[in-house]
Amino acid sequence: MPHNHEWLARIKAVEREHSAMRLAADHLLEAAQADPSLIRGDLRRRDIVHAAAGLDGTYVIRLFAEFETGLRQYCETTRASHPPMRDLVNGVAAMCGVPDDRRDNVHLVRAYRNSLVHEREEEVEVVPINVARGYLCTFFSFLPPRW
Amino acid sequence: MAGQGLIQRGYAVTVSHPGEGEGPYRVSYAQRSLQNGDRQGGNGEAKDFLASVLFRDEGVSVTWEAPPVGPEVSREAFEQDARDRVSLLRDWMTRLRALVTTVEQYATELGWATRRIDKKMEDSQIGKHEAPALLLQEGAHRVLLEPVGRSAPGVEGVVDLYLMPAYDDIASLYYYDGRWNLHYIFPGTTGAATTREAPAKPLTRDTLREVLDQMKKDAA
Repeated sequence: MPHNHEWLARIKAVEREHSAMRLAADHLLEAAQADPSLIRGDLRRRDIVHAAAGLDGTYVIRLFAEFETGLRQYCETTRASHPPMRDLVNGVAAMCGVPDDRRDNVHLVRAYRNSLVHEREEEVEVVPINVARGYLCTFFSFLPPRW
Repeated sequence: MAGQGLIQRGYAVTVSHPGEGEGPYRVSYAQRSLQNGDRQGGNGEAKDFLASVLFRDEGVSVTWEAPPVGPEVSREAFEQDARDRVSLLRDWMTRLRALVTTVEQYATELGWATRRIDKKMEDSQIGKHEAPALLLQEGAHRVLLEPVGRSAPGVEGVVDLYLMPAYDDIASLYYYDGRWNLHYIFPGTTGAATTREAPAKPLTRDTLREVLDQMKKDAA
């Protein structure tokens, strides 16, 4: 039987992975700056710069994917439909008594995730990964302990 | 050695422990290629192997509930592997349970309610296993003491303290010099960007109180 805490731990684990990759990317950039011969094959320094610059966004996408998977798993126990994410968040918030401000925080992360995935033109608020993790875990904590 | 390398690559290993008691540990080996598919061999037998490992005064005994079959890895190699995994897990659980018990006692004395939960973990040398974690609650404040890993460079155990439900990092506990050390950016600390870099204090009821009180202030 799925446990609420397991999903919180999975979301947190993504943030820890991000921390490891951030450290690795920063070290690689620093080392490549000092010794360009470290970069081999088709790789260019700018590829590493781009990867490092996009790392936070990449991990916000993964963070949100983990959150969405957990939320859909919960919903599948109560209904068979596959609603869009906005409706899913609103539906679960209504069902589990999530306060409006906590629900809106998740929509902030969702909007930022969408802007990263779909490259939308409109300006959205950037949500740092540790803030995104806090918003998503807090929302998730309103779900029942087990389902 | 070669046999244990094959086990490492070819099997997903899960170790279950007897909790606080002295019963046997169970070590199960599931062939990786069969994990998501047909788990039955051609002769109808399950492909998982299951060992029971018991610590006694006279030594460690391994018996098989479902013995290994096949020529790739000898039974002796599986038995040595099971002993090694259980030995590591036993040491880790000893350190961790002592910490959980200590924090549970301190927290209770400080007026916090506590509840033990199990956390699923995976360790490259042990395999999958469960480890104890501790939830602490006082009023609206919830804190989780959660094991992170059995080892890291220079330490024999890492456990984090989180503010829940947001899972914000509060402090870290590292086991070295034969004891658990509390790393926390106490007010006035300079030059530490992370809890790991912060100077350590021994874990005592007073240092735990200091961390919890500061956390409540920050959360207010």
